[in-house]
Amino acid sequence: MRTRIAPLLIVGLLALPAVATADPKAACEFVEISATSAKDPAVDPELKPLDKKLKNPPFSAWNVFHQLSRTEKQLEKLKPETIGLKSGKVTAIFLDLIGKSKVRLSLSIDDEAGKRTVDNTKVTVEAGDWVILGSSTANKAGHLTAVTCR
Amino acid sequence: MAERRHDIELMQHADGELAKRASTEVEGSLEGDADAQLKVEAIGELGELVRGHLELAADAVPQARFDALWREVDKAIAQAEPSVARRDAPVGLWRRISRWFDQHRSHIIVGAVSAGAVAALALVIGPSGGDSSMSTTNGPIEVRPAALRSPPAIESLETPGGTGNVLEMEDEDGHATVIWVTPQDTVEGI
Repeated sequence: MRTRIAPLLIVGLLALPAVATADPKAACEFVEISATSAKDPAVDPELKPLDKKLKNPPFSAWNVFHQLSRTEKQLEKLKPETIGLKSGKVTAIFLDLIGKSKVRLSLSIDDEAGKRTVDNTKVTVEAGDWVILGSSTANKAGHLTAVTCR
Repeated sequence: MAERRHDIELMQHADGELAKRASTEVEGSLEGDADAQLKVEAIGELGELVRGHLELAADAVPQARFDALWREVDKAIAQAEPSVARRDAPVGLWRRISRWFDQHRSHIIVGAVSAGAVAALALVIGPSGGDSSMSTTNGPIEVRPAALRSPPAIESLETPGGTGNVLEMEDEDGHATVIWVTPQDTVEGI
């Protein structure tokens, strides 16, 4: 009995550091925003974390911002995740954790017609900061996809 | 009948079992009776022989017990010798490691359980994010205070069918990198 316990303990003790150093996951938020212009400015309360940034160019061209969708996703390292949007989709890959606070991502955007507008763009961003991918649409509106991870 | 009784008295006299008075009478009768004297001497010798035998037998019993005890001890030692020999014999690395774990099993179990409990607590009681002004850790990714963060870095930018512009902005909530895509077929962009 004792000789069986010893190997189990060895395996358990060896497994502890492996568990402790397992690849981290990045908890990312994908926020889809429509930007339009109107007489009265309006920003959805859900967009408060981005409120100040939306007042700066190029977003200052619009004054009405609505949240179209918000998706939270745990990204596993090197595992592509596709997040559906109201207009199109975004594909994200958590490439690496740099240091303790920087997340290296690959981002791709497909518009509602299925056309890829951003392809495998690699960006390194501090946890809590934002990457905002945007484009203007035919009716002079804007379509934004804001991404943050932590 | 009288002679038989006389023989019994002689035997009792030889064994010292008669009262003093009766013993004196018997001694008196022996003086003129050579045959009776011979009987008394024979009874005495026989008594000595019996007593000697009994003493020897009495001595022999403990010796037999001791012999039996020693045999048991020798047997036990003989049975223990192989395990002693095994213990003293050269053993392999794995056997020594196993023996070490056997000897320190309680310490290892306590240590492993403690480490597991600490790891579980560290995973369960993790600081939650939310306040960007505080340095927080959600799992292994640390959220630093906004003022200490470095601006985002774009390694590569691919915008098929359009042009891409990168803008940086910073406020007290942190940084933002804006990747603005203008499709080629758009007459008027931002």
